[in-house]
Amino acid sequence: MSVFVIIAMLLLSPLVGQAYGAPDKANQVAESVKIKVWTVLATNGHATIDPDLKPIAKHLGNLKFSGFDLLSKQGASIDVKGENRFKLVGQRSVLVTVLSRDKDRARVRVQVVGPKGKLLDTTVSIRRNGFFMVAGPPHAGGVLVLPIFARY
Amino acid sequence: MSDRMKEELSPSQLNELRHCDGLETAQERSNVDGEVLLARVELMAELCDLSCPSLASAVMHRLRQSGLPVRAAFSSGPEVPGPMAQAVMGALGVGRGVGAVVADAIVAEAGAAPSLWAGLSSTVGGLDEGESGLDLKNALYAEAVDGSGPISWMRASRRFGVVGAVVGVGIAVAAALMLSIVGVDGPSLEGAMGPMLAAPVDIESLDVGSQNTVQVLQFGLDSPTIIFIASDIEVGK
Repeated sequence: MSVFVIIAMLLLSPLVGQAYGAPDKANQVAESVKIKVWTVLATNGHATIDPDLKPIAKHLGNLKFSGFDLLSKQGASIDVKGENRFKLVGQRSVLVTVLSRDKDRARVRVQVVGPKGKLLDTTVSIRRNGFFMVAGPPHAGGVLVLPIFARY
Repeated sequence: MSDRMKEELSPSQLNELRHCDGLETAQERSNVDGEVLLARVELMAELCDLSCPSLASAVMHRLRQSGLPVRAAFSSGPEVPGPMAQAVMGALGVGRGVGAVVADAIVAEAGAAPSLWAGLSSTVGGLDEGESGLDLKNALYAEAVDGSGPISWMRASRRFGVVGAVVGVGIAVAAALMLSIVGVDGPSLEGAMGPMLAAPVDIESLDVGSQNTVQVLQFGLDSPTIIFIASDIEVGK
């Protein structure tokens, strides 16, 4: 039994070390919010839904489109008061600024910019690990849908 | 030691005899397991610790009283066909053998000897007292018959320990792998979304500029808010 304990300690010691060192990293993560921005093309040109969109397919189904293609997935950990720009198709971009966060919600400012200027500037409070969607910019015969996730 | 005895003894018994006689080679001595040696010492101590009353004179007195005509048996032995021992015993007329007569004399003098097995088992450890004495006896017998390999009844717990250690190492490795996966933000997990909360958002401000219109769609409390930037498209079902 003592042999087992010794070997187990040897094997787990690096991880235990990580765990003891984790508070710094945890604190670092605790000060940031992981923002994910997906780019989805909603179209009536077909009636299929990208398998990768299965987690949100039910909500996409509320829109008057028959098919949904996943164009890209982007993500970044953004510190409070920090911002990150996500580039989209068609010379568009989304600038996300994390204003604050608490244990329940994150206040996020989302600015969608197109070739001709600002499309949207909104500040929302997103439930922890929740998401909302920005939709509307036309693209390839359909419209772009941007699910924006806030995880922390 | 005669060749006939060598044929009848197992290798382990021969080694035991050589060890007891101090005739073993240095290599054989180095091969002796320390645990086995310790067990031998404990067994010897247990056997020597028995308080044996001096019975010899009393037993011999009883044997003399039995009136065995040993001398006459030897003198008349050659006239009887067959081996001398058998002839002598036949002449003595002791059907059960002298050993049985001696045993009877000892028991009559000192009473029946208690069983040693329970005491031995408690001394060497690893077995409970009482009924386990028979197990120890059988183990010793099996070891003597087998004559090869280590003493099995001393190795049982060690084998369990080895198996337990191997299983433990396996569990530890699995735990280490699991912790390493869970504890590290690896790129392989970057795409994993985990649980998502579909709930409305609180909109503090909303500006779409003068050239656009906006629709805020909310299809239920368990649905995400959808902000639609357009004025000329009817998007909601």
